[in-house]
Amino acid sequence: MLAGRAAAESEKIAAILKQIGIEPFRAPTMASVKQILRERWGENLCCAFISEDIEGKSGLECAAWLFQQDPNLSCIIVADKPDNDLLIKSLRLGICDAVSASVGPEELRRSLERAMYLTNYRRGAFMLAKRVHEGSQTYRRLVSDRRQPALAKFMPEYDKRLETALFPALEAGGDMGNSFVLDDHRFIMIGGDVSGHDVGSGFVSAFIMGLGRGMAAKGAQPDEIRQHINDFLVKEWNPICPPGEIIVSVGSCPTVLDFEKMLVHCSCYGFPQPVLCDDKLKITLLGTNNPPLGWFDEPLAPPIVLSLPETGCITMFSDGLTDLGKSDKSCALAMADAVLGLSQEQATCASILEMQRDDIFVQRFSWSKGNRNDENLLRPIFHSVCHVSDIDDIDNCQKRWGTVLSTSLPGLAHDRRNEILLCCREAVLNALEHGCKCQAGNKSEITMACVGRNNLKIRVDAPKTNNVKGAEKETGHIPFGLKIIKGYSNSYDYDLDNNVLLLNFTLDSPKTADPTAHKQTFEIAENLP
Amino acid sequence: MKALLDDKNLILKFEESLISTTVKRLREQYLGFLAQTQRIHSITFDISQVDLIDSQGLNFIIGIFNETQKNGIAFRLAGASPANKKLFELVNLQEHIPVLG
Repeated sequence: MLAGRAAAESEKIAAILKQIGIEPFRAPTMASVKQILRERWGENLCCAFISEDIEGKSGLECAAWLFQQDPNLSCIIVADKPDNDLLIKSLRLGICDAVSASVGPEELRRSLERAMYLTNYRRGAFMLAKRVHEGSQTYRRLVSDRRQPALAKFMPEYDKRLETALFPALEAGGDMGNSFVLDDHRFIMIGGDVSGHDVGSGFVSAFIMGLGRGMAAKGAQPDEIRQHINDFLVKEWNPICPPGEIIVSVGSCPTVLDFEKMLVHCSCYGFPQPVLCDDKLKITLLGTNNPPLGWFDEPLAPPIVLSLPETGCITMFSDGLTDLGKSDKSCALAMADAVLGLSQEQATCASILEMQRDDIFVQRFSWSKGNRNDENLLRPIFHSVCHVSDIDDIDNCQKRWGTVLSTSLPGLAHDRRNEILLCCREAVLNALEHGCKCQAGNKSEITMACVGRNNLKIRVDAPKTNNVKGAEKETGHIPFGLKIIKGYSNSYDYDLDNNVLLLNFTLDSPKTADPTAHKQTFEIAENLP
Repeated sequence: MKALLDDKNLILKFEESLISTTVKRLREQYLGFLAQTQRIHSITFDISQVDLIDSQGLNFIIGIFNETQKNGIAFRLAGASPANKKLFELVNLQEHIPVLG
């Protein structure tokens, strides 16, 4: 579209465009610009050349109006002599180029080609995001929020929170998940991943979800359902796989939480192991790595059974998320928390699509006994192993922790964030320097979880770490690192048996320094480097 | 780190965190500055641009303080942020070393 511009110059640009096979729409006035957009709305327009002024108004105003109507449309501003002021305003507005009115054919062709490429690229990305969003909506219909009332009635002496998110990479996607109450005491969480990312994968995943749900409603046990799905794939679906096509396999991790026996049963078949976090922030991977369903006609490995804590959280996620965690140099728990946050905000998927190559499914279930209005519900946000070699790389470790805190706790004040980071730094360095260095290949671990609305818990564990109480008792002197940890955390606990330091931070009322609490005298000379 | 010699007062302005991964280098720079200067009466650490100080950063400051005391040179910290003042209070540093806001 040629918007504005005196007739003679408009003709000149039109002639150049004609040479390269493009017939522009003419819109000498703002009214005609609006009319063209009304009549030719959409794909016919791939670029707009806008005069510096149209009917005495700024061409930038016209561009701003066009962006409102179609944010993907590329606009080029045409000026007698583009000056700095115009260029800066154009850049800020999102104009993709500025050309002189006396532009030559080659220069115009380059500018036009770039603008058309940008328009097509943005439209493609927009359509992709829209399709992904539609895929997510399909999932939300399949796994509706009607689970929540049933869950509320289940085990009423427990506070519970269930969160799920699905971001298919393309259309329907192969990732799937569900959860439902099995009986008075048992709750099942299922995560799955059908090979492929297309409509066919989406169909198989919907079929399997329906199959599992129907069998469970008829009273089938999880083991029976799993075996039935494997038999279906191996004996019925894959044998009639058309020549040249790859057989379908299904990764899955059905996890049953039995609140009567306080046990968790988990089977993992070609799917990342779900992560169990207890109220001491101990991280346990559930299940074991077995081949996916659909590969072998053999009895399936039985589930691994572990005890269930009274307060805990299980996070399950597909390998799309672990890939995302690696590319972001974060960790799966941090990415799971971020993805659930995006899903909760009903965010358009465009932001996550930029990084995503695979379907992403996340499901997190937190529970706590005692009806304390969610005060004890856990939201694990980080877990990482630190090796002795990380002593020299501690700044990068700290950067990761800082990124996670900023992402998961966006309202956290800068100074409080620094206090928390400083405590983590001191605790991990202390563990690595004094605990791990003594034992070749040893490592420390750091885990972070939000507890309730206003608390952050951090666990640092390592073998033979100098501990808070031990150091104080043995030497009568508290190193600065421990003073920092004691001063900035709202409470701390040291588990001597397991060498675990557990720190608690209140987030809404940062602890103020209380010098009298640390009034022990110390000799400065003792702290010489 | 930038150094400014005002009469016989050496002002060292730190532009990065005083943490375990920076203090060794900063100490070498400090010694370098000291070697280049004639007799000085006081040293001021300007920490107005220091975002984070860890236990090694505290040890670095105290080490320099002790050395200056032995050599009869006055030492002080200037430009401490509220967060850094809170840290100094936490370890009672301000009882030994003058800390200016």
